[in-house]
Amino acid sequence: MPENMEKVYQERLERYKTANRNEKPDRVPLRPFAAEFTSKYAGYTAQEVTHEYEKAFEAVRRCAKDFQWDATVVNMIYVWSGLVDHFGQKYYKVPGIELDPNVGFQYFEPADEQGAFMKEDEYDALIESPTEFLANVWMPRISKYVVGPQDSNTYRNNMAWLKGGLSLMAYGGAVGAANEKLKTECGTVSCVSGPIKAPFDILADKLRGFRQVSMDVYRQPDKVQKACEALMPYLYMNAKVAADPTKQVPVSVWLHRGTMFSKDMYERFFWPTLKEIIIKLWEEDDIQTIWYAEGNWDKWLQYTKELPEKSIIYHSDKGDIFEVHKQVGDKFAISGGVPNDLLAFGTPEEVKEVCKKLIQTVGKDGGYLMDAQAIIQSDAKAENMKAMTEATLEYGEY
Amino acid sequence: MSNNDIYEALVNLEEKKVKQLVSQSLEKGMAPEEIMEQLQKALIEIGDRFEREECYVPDLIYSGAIMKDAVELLGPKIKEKGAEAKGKVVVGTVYGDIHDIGKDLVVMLLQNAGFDVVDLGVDVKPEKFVEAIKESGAKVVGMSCLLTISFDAISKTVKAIEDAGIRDQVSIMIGGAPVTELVKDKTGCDYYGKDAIHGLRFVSEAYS
Amino acid sequence: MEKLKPKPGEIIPWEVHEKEYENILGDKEILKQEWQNLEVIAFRFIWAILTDF
Repeated sequence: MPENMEKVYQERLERYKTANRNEKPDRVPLRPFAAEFTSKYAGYTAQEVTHEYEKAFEAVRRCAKDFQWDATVVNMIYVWSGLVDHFGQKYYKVPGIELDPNVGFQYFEPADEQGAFMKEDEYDALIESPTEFLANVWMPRISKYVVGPQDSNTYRNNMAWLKGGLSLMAYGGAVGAANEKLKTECGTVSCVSGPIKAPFDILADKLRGFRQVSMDVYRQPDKVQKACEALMPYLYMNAKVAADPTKQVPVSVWLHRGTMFSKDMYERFFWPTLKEIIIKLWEEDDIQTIWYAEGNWDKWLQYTKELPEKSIIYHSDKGDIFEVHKQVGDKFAISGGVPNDLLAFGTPEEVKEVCKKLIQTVGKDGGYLMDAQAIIQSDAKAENMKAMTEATLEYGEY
Repeated sequence: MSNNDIYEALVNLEEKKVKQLVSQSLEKGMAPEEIMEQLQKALIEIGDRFEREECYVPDLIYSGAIMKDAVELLGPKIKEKGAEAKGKVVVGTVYGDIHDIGKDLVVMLLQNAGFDVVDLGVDVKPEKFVEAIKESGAKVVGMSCLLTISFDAISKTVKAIEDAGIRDQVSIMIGGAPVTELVKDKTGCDYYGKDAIHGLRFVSEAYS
Repeated sequence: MEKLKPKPGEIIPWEVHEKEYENILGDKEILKQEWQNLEVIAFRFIWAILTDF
């Protein structure tokens, strides 16, 4: 790596880490979570970046270079559809297969009990042995090829496990190499490592489905609670083993359905087990979590506040970031705040104004990272992304 | 049993009790229309509570499921009667977007409120919307999306409606997590519903 | 079917596998260490499908 690039990288890493710890770096770091924007900018179709991960990595590098990003996600189009093809997951609609090649992949959630990947009477089996339930019951339902222990075995089943495992190894290796290239070619930090899902979210997203869970919380609340408790240590371990071993960059929690439930339900089903995962990662493993608050999580700020100082970086999407800053700015770093509709429809001047305001209020004392509210997709205009960079460089220095 | 028991039970989301009370009332000779009225009143109350943030999306989903089972009990007669619709509405998730939870919720609320809904499903091409508006003569069309990339599909659908020469006949409402007033203005729609209940309110006003 | 009840980070517990050896003439710890190293990776595969893919 050229010496000057190494220097740039070290500066950016320091800037990123300092801001994450809610301290004052030399300048506000630019840390966009950019997905389909990168492929559009680099001239690739959604099918190309979803199916050929090297192109996705390359698209990110193009943007990281041109927009001078300090830190970014090495591949925000995180579902490599090659793995989906090999293992046979039914729940994705993939660009170039079921979707237009220019539309990003999407998760297709079963609409009813009949289609649910976990049935209403299977809570006990999940609770008793989560990993076995996933392998024996859940996977045969979500994969076109996998069969359960009660079925007669097939060649395709054996090969699906083989190819699924190999796919993840191959992808993991490629991500490692891409992180390195992002560093040596762009001087940009790969900003996030392992994934956390709230136990309740995973139950609602991938196991029962949101509509089914919405009824389970009334029909069998004790089982829902026990299932969240049973999933908790597994999801903690899942994040821990996928986290950056050098502990330079945080893991992230992709918050999903927690705002759709009442206070009582949040308190009972969502919060306790998620809180425990985040605290364990922080206190036992020294790992920070990006609290990616998709939607508006302001109403649960009182709970988020309970987390230990610096344990999270609070990413604000549709919430009021200024209010978030007032309430938790002394405890946690904050990221986000640039509206996605402005990036799509606004002018560079308008974007710069917003960025300036964010820097001068939320970023006033450090602990702020520049990013859009939600993940940046192909609707964002390049000139507006450029404006975000310019404003950060112009107004972001301390 | 007082006349309001079914209403109360549904408002309180007491699934078994609703079923039990509906069956008992029918046995005792209560008119299905009267029961239906109570159920619909309860859903309106739940909608109001939702607006006041006293209840949430899962409550809407659960109440919809309870309602569905109750209407089953009332038998085919009331279903036919229910179909004497207050008006027609075309609803769909726009092209390139396959998310259906929000869209389905709007459909359910509209149907429960007595509207005749043409549900186009998800990933709906602009020309499909146009065709359905023409065929049904609906005065309102609702477009749903969950992705910011869908803004383009919204614009294209509005344009297709304009090109078909039917823009004046139809009010266009949009909804979904990433939608804002700005998106509504820039894509040329008439109304942005911040949630399913607001969508229902807009349709009700359009047909009042 | 008897449940193995793997804990977080494993898919076939060492305690189960240990009993499958008829005999161990050498160092059991070497076997255990190597077994558990790959267990973590396999565990991650199962849970990565649930959380990431």
